[in-house]
Amino acid sequence: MLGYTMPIYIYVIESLLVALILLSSFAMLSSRWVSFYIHSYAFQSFLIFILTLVLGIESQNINLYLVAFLTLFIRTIIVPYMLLRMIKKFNIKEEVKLSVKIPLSIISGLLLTVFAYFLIYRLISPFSPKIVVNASSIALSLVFIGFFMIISRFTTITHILGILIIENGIFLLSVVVVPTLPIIVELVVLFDILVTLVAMLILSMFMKMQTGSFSTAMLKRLVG
Amino acid sequence: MDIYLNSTIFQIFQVIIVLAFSPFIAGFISKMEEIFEGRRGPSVFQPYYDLHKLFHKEILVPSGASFIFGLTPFVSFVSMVLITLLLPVLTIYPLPLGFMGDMLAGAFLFSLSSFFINLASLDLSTSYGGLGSSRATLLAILSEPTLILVFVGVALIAKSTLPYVMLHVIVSSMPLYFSSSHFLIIAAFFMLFLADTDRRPINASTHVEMSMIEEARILEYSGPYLAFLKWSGYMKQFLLLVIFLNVLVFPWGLSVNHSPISLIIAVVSLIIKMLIVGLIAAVIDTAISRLRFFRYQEYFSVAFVLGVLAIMTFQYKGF
Repeated sequence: MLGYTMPIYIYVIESLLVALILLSSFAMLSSRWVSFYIHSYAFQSFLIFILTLVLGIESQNINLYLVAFLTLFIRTIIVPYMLLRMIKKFNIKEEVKLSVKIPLSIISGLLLTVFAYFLIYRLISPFSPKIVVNASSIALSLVFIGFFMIISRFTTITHILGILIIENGIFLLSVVVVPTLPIIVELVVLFDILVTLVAMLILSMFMKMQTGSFSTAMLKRLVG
Repeated sequence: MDIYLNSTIFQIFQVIIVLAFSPFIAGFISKMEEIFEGRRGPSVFQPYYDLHKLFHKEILVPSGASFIFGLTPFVSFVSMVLITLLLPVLTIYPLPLGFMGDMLAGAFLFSLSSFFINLASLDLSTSYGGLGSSRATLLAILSEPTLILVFVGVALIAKSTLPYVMLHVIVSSMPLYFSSSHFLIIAAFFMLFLADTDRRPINASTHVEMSMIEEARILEYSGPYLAFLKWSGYMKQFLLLVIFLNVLVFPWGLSVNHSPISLIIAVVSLIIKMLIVGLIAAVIDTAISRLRFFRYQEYFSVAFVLGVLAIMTFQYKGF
């Protein structure tokens, strides 16, 4: 939104939506159940869809409409559907194994968020409005929280979801900072998600067949 | 002269309203819980009958009890009445004693009452008293950072910690009312409200020895002393609801002038708002299961995160 001036209610809606997006990633950090992770990922993507749609309507940008509906279609419907079908097919009811306990991981997520605010403040605050600083720090903190989720959880599905959250954060950053990005870039990114998801699902299915579990905690050494 | 007299009358009326209606709200919430569980439940006026019965019993003091045992019910009751004077229960304009203290003073009075109950439960050195007071102290320690952060958030939004100022700031600025930091503060305070009034994610509020917290602390009391403690418990819930509704969530419907009609409107709207929130609290109480004792940190860390995010997003809200 650099270079645009918007009416104040757009600012209000945007600050509410980005706060909810951040909270949905904290909801993932605070849970032990795989299906809850997937549902809150779908909710987060839905919020990003609404944000993109609102910005598109306000800035009269056809590309943003297209990107918004592609987001709705792929991130909110297809990806959670594939993941849910996978856990239904393999009948996963186990809890996610954590290397960091839940209170500590929530507080670490908070520290990462504050760090993201600090970084964005140093980087772009002199030449951008405050709402862009807010939204892009939340986008950067989604990237950090995604990394943290990959590190601290021992299940392949949460690894996939961590990558998807990182990607959500990058997408949010691009929408908020440069909404006039060419649509081909967004298409490439969405295609990237689908390919990554399919590849990782196949890999984790192989792992399930080989080791009998989705957990990566037992993978201590490489076997040739 | 007339305005001063009217303000004084309103101030007295405020205390009377809180004293009179706090058992009703507690009775309503427990009645709703019973209905949601598929039972008929006691009457809405059951807390009044309880208080009436307890006040007609004789005073029994266990042998070996020190002066703290007799002092505690009155300290608890009087601190609740003092908090009532600080809060905008009925009026949108400040009453004469409203500037006696800010929200921090209210928090201090709440913890003074809790501190004296802890002392009294430790006084007789029974096992249940020690158990209850240690659990209650742990809960207080865990909820304290969030409480402070909520105050900091309110102070940032209103540039003051007086509840009347916060109310005026929210009413006068719609973007501020709908800002994310305001909603995050509301969420954090609601989690604290559920924890402080013994609602479900934290405590079942039962008489089962395994899980009781509030009940274990006042197990030794009986008769009029117990009535005072119970009444101050009802008043605590009522006052937390007043802070939640009239300062944070919905500060409309309060009386704007000194006429009796606006007073009646204020009382009715306050009770209706409380019944709605009580309904929500009863739904939460029946829908959510109780957390294990060693998982309380998860609940309070979520509330802490909400408080910190409220402050962070307020700094860069952009309007």
